[in-house]
Amino acid sequence: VDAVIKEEAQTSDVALRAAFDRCYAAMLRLCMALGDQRGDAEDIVQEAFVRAAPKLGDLEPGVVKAYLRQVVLNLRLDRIRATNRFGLIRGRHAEDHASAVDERDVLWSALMGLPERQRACLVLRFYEDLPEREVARLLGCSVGSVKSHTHRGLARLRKEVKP
Amino acid sequence: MTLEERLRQAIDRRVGDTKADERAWESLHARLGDRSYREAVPPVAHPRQRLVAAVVAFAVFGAAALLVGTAFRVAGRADNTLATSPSYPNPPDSGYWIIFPDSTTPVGDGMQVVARTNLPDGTLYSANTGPSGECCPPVQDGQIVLSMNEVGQLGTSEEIGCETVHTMPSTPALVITITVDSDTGQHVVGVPFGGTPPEQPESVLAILGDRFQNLTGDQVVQTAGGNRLVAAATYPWPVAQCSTGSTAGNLISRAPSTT
Repeated sequence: VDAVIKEEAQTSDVALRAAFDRCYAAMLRLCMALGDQRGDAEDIVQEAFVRAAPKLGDLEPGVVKAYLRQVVLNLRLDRIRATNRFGLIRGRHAEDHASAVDERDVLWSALMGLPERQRACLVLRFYEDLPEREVARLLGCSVGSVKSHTHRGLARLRKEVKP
Repeated sequence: MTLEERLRQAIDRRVGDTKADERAWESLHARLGDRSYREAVPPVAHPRQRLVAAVVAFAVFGAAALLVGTAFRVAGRADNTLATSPSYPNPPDSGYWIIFPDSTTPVGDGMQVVARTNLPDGTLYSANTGPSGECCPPVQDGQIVLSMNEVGQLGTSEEIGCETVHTMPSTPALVITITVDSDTGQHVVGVPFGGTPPEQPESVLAILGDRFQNLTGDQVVQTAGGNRLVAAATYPWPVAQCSTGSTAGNLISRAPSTT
Protein backbone atom coordinates (compact mmCIF):
# COMPACT_ATOMS: atom_id res chain seq x y z
CA VAL A 1 0.00 0.00 0.00
CA ASP A 2 2.66 2.44 1.00
CA ALA A 3 4.82 1.52 -1.93
CA VAL A 4 1.94 2.35 -4.24
CA ILE A 5 1.41 5.61 -2.41
CA LYS A 6 5.05 6.45 -2.88
CA GLU A 7 5.01 5.63 -6.58
CA GLU A 8 1.92 7.68 -7.17
CA ALA A 9 3.15 10.61 -5.16
CA GLN A 10 4.54 12.88 -7.81
CA THR A 11 3.42 15.89 -5.88
CA SER A 12 2.33 16.44 -2.32
CA ASP A 13 -1.28 16.74 -3.38
CA VAL A 14 -1.14 13.47 -5.19
CA ALA A 15 0.54 11.88 -2.22
CA LEU A 16 -2.11 13.31 0.05
CA ARG A 17 -4.90 11.96 -2.09
CA ALA A 18 -3.26 8.57 -2.26
CA ALA A 19 -2.79 8.52 1.49
CA PHE A 20 -6.37 9.56 1.94
CA ASP A 21 -7.66 6.79 -0.28
CA ARG A 22 -5.52 4.16 1.35
CA CYS A 23 -5.36 5.19 4.98
CA TYR A 24 -8.14 7.58 5.89
CA ALA A 25 -10.76 4.94 6.60
CA ALA A 26 -8.25 2.82 8.51
CA MET A 27 -7.40 5.76 10.74
CA LEU A 28 -11.10 6.44 11.30
CA ARG A 29 -11.60 2.82 12.32
CA LEU A 30 -8.64 3.01 14.67
CA CYS A 31 -10.03 6.08 16.41
CA MET A 32 -13.49 4.56 16.70
CA ALA A 33 -12.05 1.31 17.98
CA LEU A 34 -10.27 3.34 20.62
CA GLY A 35 -13.59 4.81 21.71
CA ASP A 36 -14.07 7.98 19.68
CA GLN A 37 -17.39 8.78 18.14
CA ARG A 38 -17.51 9.21 14.40
CA GLY A 39 -17.49 13.00 14.52
CA ASP A 40 -14.53 13.14 16.88
CA ALA A 41 -12.72 10.50 14.88
CA GLU A 42 -13.19 12.50 11.66
CA ASP A 43 -11.84 15.60 13.36
CA ILE A 44 -8.75 13.83 14.69
CA VAL A 45 -7.97 12.04 11.44
CA GLN A 46 -8.39 15.16 9.34
CA GLU A 47 -6.12 17.07 11.67
CA ALA A 48 -3.61 14.24 11.43
CA PHE A 49 -3.68 14.44 7.63
CA VAL A 50 -3.23 18.19 7.73
CA ARG A 51 -0.19 17.83 9.96
CA ALA A 52 1.26 14.96 8.00
CA ALA A 53 0.61 16.47 4.57
CA PRO A 54 3.97 18.22 4.13
CA LYS A 55 5.78 14.98 4.85
CA LEU A 56 3.75 12.52 2.87
CA GLY A 57 5.61 13.01 -0.39
CA ASP A 58 8.95 12.42 1.29
CA LEU A 59 8.17 9.38 3.33
CA GLU A 60 9.73 6.05 2.50
CA PRO A 61 7.43 3.24 1.36
CA GLY A 62 6.11 1.26 4.25
CA VAL A 63 5.93 4.06 6.74
CA VAL A 64 3.06 6.24 5.55
CA LYS A 65 0.37 4.35 7.44
CA ALA A 66 2.62 4.00 10.48
CA TYR A 67 3.39 7.71 10.35
CA LEU A 68 -0.27 8.64 10.17
CA ARG A 69 -1.06 6.23 12.96
CA GLN A 70 1.54 7.90 15.14
CA VAL A 71 0.13 11.35 14.42
CA VAL A 72 -3.40 10.17 15.12
CA LEU A 73 -2.39 8.62 18.45
CA ASN A 74 -0.46 11.74 19.44
CA LEU A 75 -3.44 13.93 18.67
CA ARG A 76 -5.74 11.66 20.65
CA LEU A 77 -3.34 11.76 23.56
CA ASP A 78 -3.24 15.55 23.38
CA ARG A 79 -7.00 15.70 23.48
CA ILE A 80 -7.23 13.32 26.41
CA ARG A 81 -4.69 15.38 28.33
CA ALA A 82 -6.55 18.57 27.50
CA THR A 83 -9.81 16.99 28.57
CA ASN A 84 -8.34 15.91 31.88
CA ARG A 85 -6.63 19.25 32.37
CA PHE A 86 -9.88 21.14 32.05
CA GLY A 87 -11.65 18.80 34.39
CA LEU A 88 -13.96 17.23 31.89
CA ILE A 89 -15.20 13.75 32.49
CA ARG A 90 -12.54 11.16 31.85
CA GLY A 91 -13.51 8.50 29.36
CA ARG A 92 -16.45 10.52 28.07
CA HIS A 93 -16.11 9.17 24.58
CA ALA A 94 -15.93 5.63 25.70
CA GLU A 95 -18.94 5.91 27.95
CA ASP A 96 -21.06 7.61 25.34
CA HIS A 97 -20.05 5.08 22.81
CA ALA A 98 -20.68 2.20 25.15
CA SER A 99 -24.15 3.42 25.90
CA ALA A 100 -24.92 3.66 22.22
CA VAL A 101 -23.89 0.19 21.28
CA ASP A 102 -26.01 -2.86 21.07
CA GLU A 103 -26.43 -4.19 24.57
CA ARG A 104 -25.90 -7.69 23.30
CA ASP A 105 -22.37 -6.91 22.33
CA VAL A 106 -20.92 -7.34 25.77
CA LEU A 107 -17.35 -7.60 24.57
CA TRP A 108 -17.46 -4.29 22.77
CA SER A 109 -19.06 -2.61 25.76
CA ALA A 110 -16.44 -4.12 28.02
CA LEU A 111 -13.67 -2.84 25.74
CA MET A 112 -15.13 0.64 25.83
CA GLY A 113 -15.23 0.46 29.60
CA LEU A 114 -11.51 -0.22 29.92
CA PRO A 115 -9.04 2.49 30.93
CA GLU A 116 -7.65 4.38 27.95
CA ARG A 117 -4.20 2.79 28.03
CA GLN A 118 -5.49 -0.78 28.35
CA ARG A 119 -7.96 -0.22 25.52
CA ALA A 120 -5.24 1.24 23.32
CA CYS A 121 -2.97 -1.75 23.94
CA LEU A 122 -5.70 -4.24 23.09
CA VAL A 123 -6.82 -2.41 19.96
CA LEU A 124 -3.30 -1.90 18.65
CA ARG A 125 -2.24 -5.45 19.48
CA PHE A 126 -5.27 -7.41 18.33
CA TYR A 127 -7.11 -5.17 15.90
CA GLU A 128 -4.19 -3.45 14.26
CA ASP A 129 -2.04 -6.58 14.64
CA LEU A 130 0.98 -4.63 15.81
CA PRO A 131 3.83 -6.25 17.72
CA GLU A 132 4.36 -5.27 21.32
CA ARG A 133 7.46 -3.28 20.51
CA GLU A 134 5.60 -1.14 17.98
CA VAL A 135 2.72 -0.61 20.40
CA ALA A 136 5.22 0.48 23.04
CA ARG A 137 6.80 2.92 20.62
CA LEU A 138 3.44 4.35 19.58
CA LEU A 139 2.23 4.79 23.13
CA GLY A 140 5.58 6.02 24.41
CA CYS A 141 5.97 3.36 27.07
CA SER A 142 8.00 0.21 27.67
CA VAL A 143 7.30 -3.22 26.22
CA GLY A 144 6.78 -4.45 29.77
CA SER A 145 4.14 -1.81 30.29
CA VAL A 146 2.38 -2.88 27.10
CA LYS A 147 2.41 -6.49 28.26
CA SER A 148 1.06 -5.48 31.62
CA HIS A 149 -1.75 -3.34 30.20
CA THR A 150 -2.63 -6.00 27.66
CA HIS A 151 -2.75 -8.69 30.31
CA ARG A 152 -4.88 -6.61 32.64
CA GLY A 153 -7.18 -5.56 29.82
CA LEU A 154 -7.73 -9.11 28.66
CA ALA A 155 -8.28 -10.28 32.22
CA ARG A 156 -10.90 -7.62 32.73
CA LEU A 157 -12.62 -8.44 29.46
CA ARG A 158 -12.60 -12.11 30.38
CA LYS A 159 -14.13 -11.31 33.72
CA GLU A 160 -16.87 -9.17 32.26
CA VAL A 161 -17.65 -11.45 29.37
CA LYS A 162 -17.97 -14.44 31.68
CA PRO A 163 -19.46 -13.09 34.90
CA MET B 1 -12.23 -19.07 19.41
CA THR B 2 -9.88 -17.15 21.64
CA LEU B 3 -10.79 -13.97 23.44
CA GLU B 4 -8.39 -12.04 21.22
CA GLU B 5 -10.15 -13.30 18.08
CA ARG B 6 -13.54 -12.52 19.54
CA LEU B 7 -12.30 -9.07 20.41
CA ARG B 8 -11.07 -8.50 16.88
CA GLN B 9 -14.46 -9.58 15.53
CA ALA B 10 -16.32 -7.40 17.99
CA ILE B 11 -14.30 -4.35 16.94
CA ASP B 12 -14.64 -5.19 13.29
CA ARG B 13 -18.39 -5.55 13.64
CA ARG B 14 -18.59 -2.08 15.10
CA VAL B 15 -16.18 -0.13 12.95
CA GLY B 16 -15.36 -2.39 10.02
CA ASP B 17 -17.80 -0.77 7.63
CA THR B 18 -16.47 2.73 8.28
CA LYS B 19 -15.43 4.24 5.00
CA ALA B 20 -14.09 7.56 3.79
CA ASP B 21 -16.33 9.54 1.50
CA GLU B 22 -15.84 12.49 -0.79
CA ARG B 23 -17.27 14.82 1.79
CA ALA B 24 -14.39 13.94 4.05
CA TRP B 25 -11.92 14.66 1.28
CA GLU B 26 -13.55 18.00 0.59
CA SER B 27 -13.56 18.79 4.26
CA LEU B 28 -9.89 17.90 4.48
CA HIS B 29 -9.10 20.08 1.50
CA ALA B 30 -10.97 22.95 3.04
CA ARG B 31 -9.05 22.47 6.23
CA LEU B 32 -5.78 22.45 4.36
CA GLY B 33 -6.81 25.58 2.55
CA ASP B 34 -7.28 27.34 5.85
CA ARG B 35 -3.62 27.12 6.62
CA SER B 36 -0.34 26.70 4.83
CA TYR B 37 0.02 23.01 5.42
CA ARG B 38 3.47 23.01 3.95
CA GLU B 39 4.53 24.62 7.20
CA ALA B 40 2.57 22.23 9.30
CA VAL B 41 3.80 21.23 12.69
CA PRO B 42 5.78 18.03 13.08
CA PRO B 43 3.84 14.88 13.88
CA VAL B 44 5.21 14.40 17.36
CA ALA B 45 2.93 16.87 19.02
CA HIS B 46 4.34 17.02 22.53
CA PRO B 47 7.40 19.29 22.57
CA ARG B 48 5.78 21.80 24.90
CA GLN B 49 4.42 19.09 27.15
CA ARG B 50 7.82 17.43 27.20
CA LEU B 51 9.40 20.71 28.17
CA VAL B 52 6.87 21.14 30.96
CA ALA B 53 7.50 17.56 32.08
CA ALA B 54 11.25 18.16 32.08
CA VAL B 55 10.86 21.32 34.15
CA VAL B 56 8.57 19.55 36.61
CA ALA B 57 10.93 16.57 36.83
CA PHE B 58 13.87 18.89 37.43
CA ALA B 59 11.98 20.69 40.16
CA VAL B 60 10.92 17.45 41.83
CA PHE B 61 14.42 15.97 41.75
CA GLY B 62 15.90 19.21 42.95
CA ALA B 63 13.49 19.35 45.85
CA ALA B 64 14.19 15.72 46.67
CA ALA B 65 17.94 16.33 46.64
CA LEU B 66 17.48 19.37 48.86
CA LEU B 67 15.39 17.39 51.34
CA VAL B 68 17.88 14.54 51.43
CA GLY B 69 20.73 16.94 51.94
CA THR B 70 18.83 18.72 54.71
CA ALA B 71 18.00 15.40 56.37
CA PHE B 72 21.65 14.41 56.42
CA ARG B 73 22.71 17.77 57.80
CA VAL B 74 20.09 17.62 60.55
CA ALA B 75 20.97 14.03 61.37
CA GLY B 76 24.62 14.93 61.36
CA ARG B 77 24.06 17.71 63.88
CA ALA B 78 21.82 15.60 66.07
CA ASP B 79 23.66 12.33 66.07
CA ASN B 80 26.88 12.72 64.16
CA THR B 81 26.65 9.15 62.92
CA LEU B 82 24.87 9.31 59.61
CA ALA B 83 27.14 11.78 57.93
CA THR B 84 30.37 10.29 59.24
CA SER B 85 31.39 6.88 60.47
CA PRO B 86 32.33 6.58 64.13
CA SER B 87 36.01 6.98 64.83
CA TYR B 88 38.12 4.92 67.19
CA PRO B 89 40.95 5.81 69.56
CA ASN B 90 44.37 4.40 68.87
CA PRO B 91 44.74 0.95 70.43
CA PRO B 92 47.47 0.29 73.00
CA ASP B 93 50.85 -0.79 71.68
CA SER B 94 50.89 -4.02 73.61
CA GLY B 95 48.62 -6.55 75.22
CA TYR B 96 45.06 -7.34 74.39
CA TRP B 97 42.49 -4.60 74.11
CA ILE B 98 38.94 -3.69 73.23
CA ILE B 99 38.32 -0.19 71.92
CA PHE B 100 34.96 1.47 71.50
CA PRO B 101 33.81 3.89 68.83
CA ASP B 102 33.26 7.50 69.77
CA SER B 103 29.54 7.23 69.16
CA THR B 104 26.74 4.75 68.69
CA THR B 105 25.32 4.14 65.25
CA PRO B 106 21.57 4.43 64.75
CA VAL B 107 20.14 1.23 63.30
CA GLY B 108 16.43 1.07 62.72
CA ASP B 109 14.72 2.22 65.89
CA GLY B 110 17.70 1.25 67.98
CA MET B 111 21.45 1.61 67.85
CA GLN B 112 24.59 -0.38 67.40
CA VAL B 113 28.05 -0.27 68.87
CA VAL B 114 30.86 -1.99 67.02
CA ALA B 115 33.89 -2.38 69.27
CA ARG B 116 37.26 -3.46 67.89
CA THR B 117 39.59 -5.93 69.52
CA ASN B 118 42.74 -7.92 68.96
CA LEU B 119 41.38 -10.86 70.93
CA PRO B 120 41.39 -14.09 68.96
CA ASP B 121 38.35 -14.66 66.81
CA GLY B 122 36.02 -17.00 68.62
CA THR B 123 36.72 -15.55 72.07
CA LEU B 124 33.44 -15.49 73.97
CA TYR B 125 32.51 -12.32 75.75
CA SER B 126 29.64 -11.09 77.87
CA ALA B 127 28.13 -7.65 77.60
CA ASN B 128 26.09 -5.51 79.96
CA THR B 129 24.27 -2.29 79.36
CA GLY B 130 22.51 -1.90 82.68
CA PRO B 131 19.04 -2.75 81.44
CA SER B 132 20.20 -6.04 80.02
CA GLY B 133 23.08 -8.41 79.55
CA GLU B 134 24.17 -10.74 76.83
CA CYS B 135 26.11 -13.98 77.04
CA CYS B 136 28.17 -15.10 75.22
CA PRO B 137 28.69 -14.31 71.56
CA PRO B 138 32.12 -14.74 69.98
CA VAL B 139 34.51 -12.15 68.62
CA GLN B 140 34.24 -12.17 64.86
CA ASP B 141 36.71 -10.60 62.47
CA GLY B 142 38.18 -8.57 65.28
CA GLN B 143 34.83 -7.00 66.07
CA ILE B 144 32.31 -7.09 68.87
CA VAL B 145 28.94 -6.01 67.59
CA LEU B 146 26.31 -4.97 70.09
CA SER B 147 22.81 -4.17 68.88
CA MET B 148 20.28 -2.68 71.22
CA ASN B 149 17.12 -0.67 71.28
CA GLU B 150 16.81 2.94 72.29
CA VAL B 151 16.98 2.11 76.01
CA GLY B 152 19.98 -0.15 75.74
CA GLN B 153 18.28 -3.54 75.75
CA LEU B 154 20.70 -5.79 73.94
CA GLY B 155 19.82 -8.06 71.07
CA THR B 156 16.94 -6.04 69.71
CA SER B 157 16.51 -2.91 67.72
CA GLU B 158 12.77 -2.80 68.17
CA GLU B 159 11.39 0.38 69.60
CA ILE B 160 9.73 -0.32 72.92
CA GLY B 161 7.54 2.72 73.01
CA CYS B 162 7.33 5.72 75.28
CA GLU B 163 5.07 4.10 77.87
CA THR B 164 7.65 1.44 78.54
CA VAL B 165 10.47 3.96 78.47
CA HIS B 166 8.84 5.82 81.35
CA THR B 167 8.79 2.65 83.44
CA MET B 168 12.49 2.00 82.93
CA PRO B 169 14.95 2.92 85.67
CA SER B 170 16.50 6.24 84.82
CA THR B 171 20.23 6.35 84.25
CA PRO B 172 22.13 9.40 83.13
CA ALA B 173 23.88 7.64 80.26
CA LEU B 174 24.27 4.36 78.49
CA VAL B 175 27.11 2.37 80.01
CA ILE B 176 28.34 -0.63 78.07
CA THR B 177 30.64 -3.13 79.75
CA ILE B 178 32.30 -6.02 77.94
CA THR B 179 33.95 -8.74 79.96
CA VAL B 180 36.20 -11.47 78.68
CA ASP B 181 36.95 -14.23 81.13
CA SER B 182 37.85 -17.87 81.05
CA ASP B 183 34.65 -18.32 83.06
CA THR B 184 32.09 -17.04 80.62
CA GLY B 185 28.72 -15.79 81.67
CA GLN B 186 29.71 -14.93 85.21
CA HIS B 187 29.43 -11.23 84.72
CA VAL B 188 26.15 -10.81 83.04
CA VAL B 189 24.08 -8.47 85.16
CA GLY B 190 20.47 -7.58 84.79
CA VAL B 191 19.05 -10.76 83.39
CA PRO B 192 18.81 -14.17 84.96
CA PHE B 193 21.15 -16.60 83.36
CA GLY B 194 19.89 -20.12 83.23
CA GLY B 195 21.82 -23.24 82.38
CA THR B 196 25.52 -23.76 81.96
CA PRO B 197 27.39 -20.96 80.24
CA PRO B 198 29.28 -21.99 77.14
CA GLU B 199 33.01 -22.61 77.55
CA GLN B 200 35.72 -20.76 75.71
CA PRO B 201 36.69 -22.73 72.62
CA GLU B 202 39.89 -24.77 72.62
CA SER B 203 41.43 -22.58 69.97
CA VAL B 204 41.08 -19.56 72.26
CA LEU B 205 42.31 -21.38 75.36
CA ALA B 206 45.33 -22.51 73.38
CA ILE B 207 46.26 -18.87 72.84
CA LEU B 208 45.13 -17.19 76.06
CA GLY B 209 45.74 -20.11 78.40
CA ASP B 210 43.33 -22.26 80.40
CA ARG B 211 42.92 -19.51 83.02
CA PHE B 212 43.61 -16.75 80.54
CA GLN B 213 47.00 -16.31 82.10
CA ASN B 214 48.28 -15.07 78.74
CA LEU B 215 45.66 -12.36 78.64
CA THR B 216 47.56 -9.13 79.32
CA GLY B 217 47.06 -5.46 78.73
CA ASP B 218 45.91 -2.22 80.33
CA GLN B 219 42.31 -3.41 80.54
CA VAL B 220 43.20 -6.72 82.16
CA VAL B 221 42.65 -7.36 85.85
CA GLN B 222 43.93 -10.33 87.77
CA THR B 223 41.46 -12.34 89.77
CA ALA B 224 41.65 -15.50 91.79
CA GLY B 225 40.12 -17.39 88.89
CA GLY B 226 42.55 -16.03 86.35
CA ASN B 227 42.90 -12.94 84.18
CA ARG B 228 39.91 -10.99 83.00
CA LEU B 229 39.61 -8.18 80.46
CA VAL B 230 37.00 -5.54 81.27
CA ALA B 231 36.30 -2.71 78.86
CA ALA B 232 33.58 -0.12 79.30
CA ALA B 233 32.27 2.92 77.49
CA THR B 234 29.66 5.53 78.28
CA TYR B 235 27.47 7.05 75.62
CA PRO B 236 24.75 9.65 75.72
CA TRP B 237 21.30 8.25 75.22
CA PRO B 238 19.96 8.85 71.76
CA VAL B 239 17.75 11.85 71.18
CA ALA B 240 14.67 11.35 73.26
CA GLN B 241 11.59 10.46 71.27
CA CYS B 242 9.50 10.67 74.43
CA SER B 243 8.86 13.59 76.72
CA THR B 244 11.38 14.90 79.21
CA GLY B 245 12.04 12.51 82.02
CA SER B 246 12.38 9.42 79.93
CA THR B 247 15.33 7.13 80.31
CA ALA B 248 16.96 8.50 77.24
CA GLY B 249 16.96 12.02 78.54
CA ASN B 250 18.53 14.73 76.48
CA LEU B 251 21.37 14.65 74.09
CA ILE B 252 24.71 15.00 75.82
CA SER B 253 28.30 14.79 74.76
CA ARG B 254 29.44 12.46 72.04
CA ALA B 255 32.71 11.10 73.25
CA PRO B 256 32.48 8.01 75.42
CA SER B 257 34.54 7.52 78.50
CA THR B 258 36.32 4.27 78.03
CA THR B 259 38.01 2.21 80.67
